[in-house]
Amino acid sequence: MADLRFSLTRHGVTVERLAPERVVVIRVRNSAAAAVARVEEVLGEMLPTTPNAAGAHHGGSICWLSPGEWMVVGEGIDVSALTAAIAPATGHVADIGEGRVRYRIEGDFAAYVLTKGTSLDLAAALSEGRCAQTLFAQILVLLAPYGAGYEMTADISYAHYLETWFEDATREFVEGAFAS
Amino acid sequence: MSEGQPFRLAVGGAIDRSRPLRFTWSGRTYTGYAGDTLASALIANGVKVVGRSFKYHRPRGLIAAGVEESNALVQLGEGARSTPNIRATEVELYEGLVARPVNCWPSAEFDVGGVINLASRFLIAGFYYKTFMWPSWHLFEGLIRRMAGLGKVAPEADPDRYEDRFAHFDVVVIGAGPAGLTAALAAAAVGRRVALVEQDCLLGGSLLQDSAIIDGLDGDAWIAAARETLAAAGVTILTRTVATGYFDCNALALLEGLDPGRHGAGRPRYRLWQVRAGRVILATGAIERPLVFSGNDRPGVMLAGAVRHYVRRFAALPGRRFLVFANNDDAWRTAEALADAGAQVVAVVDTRRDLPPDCVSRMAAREIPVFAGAAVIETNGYKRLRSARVRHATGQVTDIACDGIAMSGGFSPTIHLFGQAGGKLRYDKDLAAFVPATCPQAAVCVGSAAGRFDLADLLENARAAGEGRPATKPARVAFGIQPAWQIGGSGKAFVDFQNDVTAQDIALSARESFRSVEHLKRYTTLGMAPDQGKTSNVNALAIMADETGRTVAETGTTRFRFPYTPMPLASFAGRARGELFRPLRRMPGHARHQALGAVFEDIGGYLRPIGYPQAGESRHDTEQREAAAVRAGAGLFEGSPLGKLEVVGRDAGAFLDRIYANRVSNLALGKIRYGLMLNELGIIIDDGVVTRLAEDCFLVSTTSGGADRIAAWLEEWLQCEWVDLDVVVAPVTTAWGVLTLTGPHARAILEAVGTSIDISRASFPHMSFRKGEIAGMSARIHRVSFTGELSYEVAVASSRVPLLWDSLIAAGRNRGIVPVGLDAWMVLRTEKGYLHVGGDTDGTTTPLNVGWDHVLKKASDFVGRRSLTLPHNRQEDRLQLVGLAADDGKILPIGAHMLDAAGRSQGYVTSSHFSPTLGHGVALGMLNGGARRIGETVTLRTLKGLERVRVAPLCAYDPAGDRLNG
Repeated sequence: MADLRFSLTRHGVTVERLAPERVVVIRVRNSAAAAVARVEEVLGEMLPTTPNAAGAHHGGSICWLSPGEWMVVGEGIDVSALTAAIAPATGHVADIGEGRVRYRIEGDFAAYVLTKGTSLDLAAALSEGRCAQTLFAQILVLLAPYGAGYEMTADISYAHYLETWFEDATREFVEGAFAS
Repeated sequence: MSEGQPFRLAVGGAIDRSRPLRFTWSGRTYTGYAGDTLASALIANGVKVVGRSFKYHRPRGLIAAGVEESNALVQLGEGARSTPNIRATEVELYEGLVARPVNCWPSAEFDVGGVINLASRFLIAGFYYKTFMWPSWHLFEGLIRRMAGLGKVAPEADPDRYEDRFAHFDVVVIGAGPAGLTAALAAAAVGRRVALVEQDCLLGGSLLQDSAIIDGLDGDAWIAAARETLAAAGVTILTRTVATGYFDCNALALLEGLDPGRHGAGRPRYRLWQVRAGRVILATGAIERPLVFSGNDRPGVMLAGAVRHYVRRFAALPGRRFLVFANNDDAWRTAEALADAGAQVVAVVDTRRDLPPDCVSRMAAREIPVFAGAAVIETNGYKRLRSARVRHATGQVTDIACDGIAMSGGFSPTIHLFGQAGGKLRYDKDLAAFVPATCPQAAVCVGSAAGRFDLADLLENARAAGEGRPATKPARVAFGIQPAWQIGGSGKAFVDFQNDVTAQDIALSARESFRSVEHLKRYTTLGMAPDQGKTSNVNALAIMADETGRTVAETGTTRFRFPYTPMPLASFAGRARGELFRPLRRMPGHARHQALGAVFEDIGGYLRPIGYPQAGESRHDTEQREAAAVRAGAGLFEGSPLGKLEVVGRDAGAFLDRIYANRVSNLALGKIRYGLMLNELGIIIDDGVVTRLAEDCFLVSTTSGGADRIAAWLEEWLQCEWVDLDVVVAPVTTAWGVLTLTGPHARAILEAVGTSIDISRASFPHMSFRKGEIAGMSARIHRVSFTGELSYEVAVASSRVPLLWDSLIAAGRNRGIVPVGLDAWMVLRTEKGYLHVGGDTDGTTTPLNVGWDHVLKKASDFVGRRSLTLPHNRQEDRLQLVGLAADDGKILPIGAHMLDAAGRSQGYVTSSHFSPTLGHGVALGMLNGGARRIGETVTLRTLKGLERVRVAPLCAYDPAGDRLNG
């Protein structure tokens, strides 16, 4: 569908809406150790326990969201295997890719564009291996570094708003008109 | 002298004579140069009167060269870009600039309002309070409001763009004079992330007017080298940027002016920076004080430092025959600058009897007469200064012809931001000024802002501050000063030029017991308006100290508040205008609604269709047609925003029993129950249905606006109060899109699109849930109804909503299906008497107001229960939700109150529509003791008068529920 594509290129910055991916949020009550270990086995990756830590997962990513709560992005995630792995502990695997939109922001001014929307100190909060859930342009988003740029995950109902916001926020990035 | 610029020097100054710029001032065209400010260009063109004073409409000239300018307020630009009260000293000249003075008509030279000055002896402090009390302020208000105020705001929407951003720095240095540059260099050298903020378009501060040798370089060369070093170290250098606010936790507001004269065409005009700093170094300089003598506001009387600034930086001569009047050594440098520029200095008048010998000999070398222990006590002239009357030490009085007076009453460190930061001040007698003492935040003042005026001393101190070391030595005394707060004289001696407050007004304020500086400010308006007392504060409180027999320190200062200089309101809004004002969410079927011509409204943060008007329909027509179509055939409604929370765990049932006012845990598998959620006060905060998906798994539906709020509410109880409960909550709202198919043909349409579920009445009854396939998509179906008709809420993966929409519309085409908006939805639910939380309820509504008395009998405890038992909540005559019907069938106004015999309110209408099916108005309302009053007739007060309405049962349509269960 046409309105699912969004790609914006301005002087020094590109913003691209990523193709829909599987996004799951895994919740394990009280981070029950045995359940977490079984989930890690299914994923083939460790679940980070440090707040705001992020790791890789088969070309996707794992982000710590809150104690006992992680977001895993990537193909080939087996929701029923994960659900089964948590039992008999209490937990939940939410398959919410349909409810999320993801963008990649890259270029020399990528960080600058983000500072128009978030009060986070990006250099500190989004260094390698970190992620942050924060207020961005009045809405909640999850930000994580991606190479020299960033990835943003937001609720899909805000996709149009965010795209309008990016269009507007990057208007001043015109060759020669902006130099910092 | 330059062509058309009679007061421009042939050489010198940081202006570009090869780039002349034409500008219009007060309707006349002039020429200045690139590098000029509007103020310096006016001086170069010999314009003396730049405005009229606020109260007395006295002609005023430029007094200063920076933010402290209190006279030259201009209306800048034209049309929608016209901006009031910009200081001419802060406007960089650009080609085609158009400006005019504020507060005068038709011009500053000839101002009709000037007649007010004739009555000025009556316009004393507190004049308004004293004069317009009788018979009523409101009698005079209109006239006074028209006369008062400065400048005009453009009535059009602001066409310019305003940017904003956040930033973080280890060190923010505010002010780029010698101290600020040195501090920034030092901080950058030790590897800090540094920002250097300068309000001027040039770096250099005092070096732009006073020559100095630093590190073996002259001022200009040193500034250039410093700039290069800072840029190479990655320091963020912000020129044309005013630090307007200093808030808690080292948060700063910086207003960056962009592209002067070139904004428009999408270019931003200002950028507001919200900065968090590790440390803040305030190198904000010092502001020179006027001397308070009679006639000190005559055009031509200026601050001595400003005169030097115009001469040295802009090669513009504010006058040809100057008299220097001072109480300190610094002003004497202005005499030299003027003499060097070829102006005649007719005298240096100093209030001090003992003058420093080196100053005197410097004047002797230039053959400038010096009068010690003397003072200017009066000036002559009206629109131009003609002469100064000098009282000599001997008591003798002489008139000295001059067209300019360069005055200096000393310097006040610019401690406004330090004060905003919570810093405390100390009165320094040697300097006759308040200087920074302690600050609760990581802020330090350097340079003249710290009361350090000796170059070597301030550079050493600034270097230490930049590196984060404490200042070791106290400030070295750099120049001599002897306070001369009140000179006296017979006429008006102005303290606050912008607000027309005189020394006499302050004395009056003291006599009338407005002695606190804060009272003084309000009573006389001293230090108010854009100026905020930049030149007047210290003089005023020193005079107040004199008048009340206190020391200056005892008298104290007023509070310094944000913003340091006025900011355009649009800079606060930034880009949050129009579509970006507030984030609006879109539903997965948005494009379908758009294609059908839906009218959208912001409902609970979502753009939702209120109706799908056909050609020629009014909003009411659309609502009526859609509502009738649902009852006759079928309607399709998107309900995707409905909150969807999955609640799992062994204690999920027990948890929901505590969260809902009614019982949930005994719900059978695949069954649905309607419930109310209360807060601790027993107030209804949300309603919706809950579904048992499995033994240990429930799906909680919240209201559309409540999805995030209720998810947080559940987490709060789990994380803070009931940590022992074995429960996990997972919000999945937007992963699912929901289309509600409703109406007598709903089942037939569902069968037509094809479904794997047995949807017969017997196997899929009202208030039950099934999973299966619909139109080839995996779906979750709630058989619940908000319309009173047979209804299916079909949830599919968000991205499949458009496909499902198309399938259902196609299948329903021959069965009368219509898309339904929220307007019709509200008609349908009002006919059924279904509660709309937030519409029929408010922040006082409990279950006992809506007929849910049975919750008191619930066996287990729940949030809000104890509050429901309060006597007030159980009163017999409490408000109770009832149906209402007007005898003649018209639509009752929502919000209209029902009155008792004494005319007191006994309730009000909460929902009201015309029912196309029933052919009369249907309404819901809250009525005292309403449940027992069904059938009564009550009086309703509307804007048209009194009406009679009948109290009716809640449900006006199909009370038996045959259609619902159909």
